[in-house]
Amino acid sequence: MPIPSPTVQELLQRAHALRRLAHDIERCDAMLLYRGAGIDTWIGATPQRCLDDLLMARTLLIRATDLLRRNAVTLEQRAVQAGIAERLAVPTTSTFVR
Amino acid sequence: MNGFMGYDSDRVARLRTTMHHAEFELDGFRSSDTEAGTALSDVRRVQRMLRESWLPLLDSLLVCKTLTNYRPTRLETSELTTSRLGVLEHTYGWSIVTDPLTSASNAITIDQAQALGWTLSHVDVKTLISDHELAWLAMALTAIAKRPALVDAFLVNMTNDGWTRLCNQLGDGRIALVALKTVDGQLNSTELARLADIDSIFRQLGAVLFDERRRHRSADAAPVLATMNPYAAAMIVQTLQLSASELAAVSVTLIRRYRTGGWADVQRAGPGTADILMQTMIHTPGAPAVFVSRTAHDPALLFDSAHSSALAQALIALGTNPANMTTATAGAVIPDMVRYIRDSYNSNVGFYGRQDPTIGLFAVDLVAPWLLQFAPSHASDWSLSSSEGPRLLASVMIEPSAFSRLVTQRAAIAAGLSHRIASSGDMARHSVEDLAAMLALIDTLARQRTVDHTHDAQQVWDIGFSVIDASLSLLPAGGAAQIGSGVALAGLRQVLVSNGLAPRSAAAVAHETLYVLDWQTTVAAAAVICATFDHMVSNGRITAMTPPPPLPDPGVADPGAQFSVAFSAWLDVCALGQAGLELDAIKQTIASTHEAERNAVDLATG
Repeated sequence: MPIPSPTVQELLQRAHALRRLAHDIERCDAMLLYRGAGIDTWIGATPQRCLDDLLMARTLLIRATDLLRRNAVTLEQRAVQAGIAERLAVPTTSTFVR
Repeated sequence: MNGFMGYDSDRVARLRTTMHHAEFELDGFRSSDTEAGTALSDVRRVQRMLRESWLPLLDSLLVCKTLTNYRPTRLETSELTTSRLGVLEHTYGWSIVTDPLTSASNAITIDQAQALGWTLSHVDVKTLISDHELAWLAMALTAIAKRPALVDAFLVNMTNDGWTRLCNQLGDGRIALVALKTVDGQLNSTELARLADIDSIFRQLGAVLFDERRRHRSADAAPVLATMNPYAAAMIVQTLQLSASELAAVSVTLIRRYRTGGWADVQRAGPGTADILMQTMIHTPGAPAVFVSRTAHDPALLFDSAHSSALAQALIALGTNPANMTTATAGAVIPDMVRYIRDSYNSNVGFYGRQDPTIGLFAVDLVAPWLLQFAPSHASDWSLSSSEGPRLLASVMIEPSAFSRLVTQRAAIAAGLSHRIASSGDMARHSVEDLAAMLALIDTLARQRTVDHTHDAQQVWDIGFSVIDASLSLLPAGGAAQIGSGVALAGLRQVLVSNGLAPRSAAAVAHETLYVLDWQTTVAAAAVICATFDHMVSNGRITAMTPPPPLPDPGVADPGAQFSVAFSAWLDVCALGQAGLELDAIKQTIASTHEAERNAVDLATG
């Protein structure tokens, strides 16, 4: 039994969810942890390693949000294609009549 | 950070709270969408890092749970390498634990530079200068000196007391090492490294002060130097890049303190305070002359402060060189120095309890460039009486080899004469007069010592012809005229080549005394006349058909008189008019022994 293709609505919902997740990650506390881990808080080789890790964490999270948004764009493009295909396959009155 | 970690408990607590919340928040990011898989794996990676690495450490720190490698400790405030954490612990109440990690970076930060200045100013430095601390301090100061922001941060907490304690400690350490090297002949590798670190720290401290002075023109290093030992201050001064006058002023102050403050007793080995300062002045253009001028009234400060008399003499020679000192200034300096040398030579006692055996010969080097000013005809240059100059000069020509030394200085004598002629304005007139005066003075000195050897006679000739050469080169006839060059000079050259510049046998100097000067002044007069004659021919004042001037005859007993007769006859035959009068004036000025004779009589009669 063939897997049914996702509908336009489904694709748009998934894209929206990915964008929402990217938005939430972008605003999470982990993004700004590094600000509280500088030399005003602690000093030493271990604190320096911690600061380096938190800066790397920020980089990873930014990369994650970028990836989520890229994937959302891909889904939205697929939705557009699916919409075109649907209209071509089942013409409606509104398609031809003003 | 050298095995320790410091932290502010309140801030670490806030960091932990935020991190817990962040970890919880990350845990809530979920998605069943396959397109979110890769992104969420990055999120989980961050979450794991917080949960497994940093939250446990922060939790342990805050509940005082002892971790294997993070043990609570207290730092010594006197430990330089941990001065940054030490200041934070004792001033801001930070907690300190051991840190198993070692920092890959030795970079000095602003707060670290501030902390270092504070530590050096508030702890007893005597207890903290271990070998590894010295090496670290050298590294830290090198980094600080390179960045103005770090210099400012370092100096903001560095008090004068801090400077004094640190530099005195370093200076004492250096003196001890140099003394050890003198006694043992060498230092081991540890001692050498320590000496190198001390020197590096001194250099960087000087660089720090220099940078501050450069950027803040009002900044004055004098207060910092005033309270530390003269030796330590001298080490700092080396790299302050002071101006000539500043350096000379500071050096006078420090050497005076060194001589009167008892430091000389503990600084016997290696370069001392004065040596360091004098070496610095030698490498600072203009400083030797200013220093010599400032200490003219106290020559002992010049001659009797450095461990190395050769160094002091090099400084004095440089400072009193006519190229660096005016005739008027030299008049306020050289006579006093000559008197000091004469008196100290006679008293046979120096500052260090011994007489400098080289001072007699150095006196010759000192007077050589200024020989002309000792001549009676130039007595007014230095406000000396007409007989005082030759008498003063004779008083330091003490050593048996003094005259030989004067011969070796003939280039300096000639240079001094050239400088005098070149700066006197009327070059033609003065060069002739000064040449005559110089030849007379040299003859006077020679006459004082009996010239009874061919070698001695040759020496007198060498000096005389050096000054003749110098004078000729400054005559209008040509900047580079030398004896034997030019057209008319060619004949004179043949005479000199065939007969030699000086008598070659003892028989030839049998009539020594006046003969030497007579021949020399005659040759000098002939040389100047020939050079001037060539010049007059070349510019058309005398026709090219005119026969050349007569030449002196070395084969006769009285070459001066013979030349005078021949020259007068030549003038009569040639009828050169004004040109002839000028040539006659030159001959009369140079080829006269009257002045030398008078000087000799003065000396002989005391």
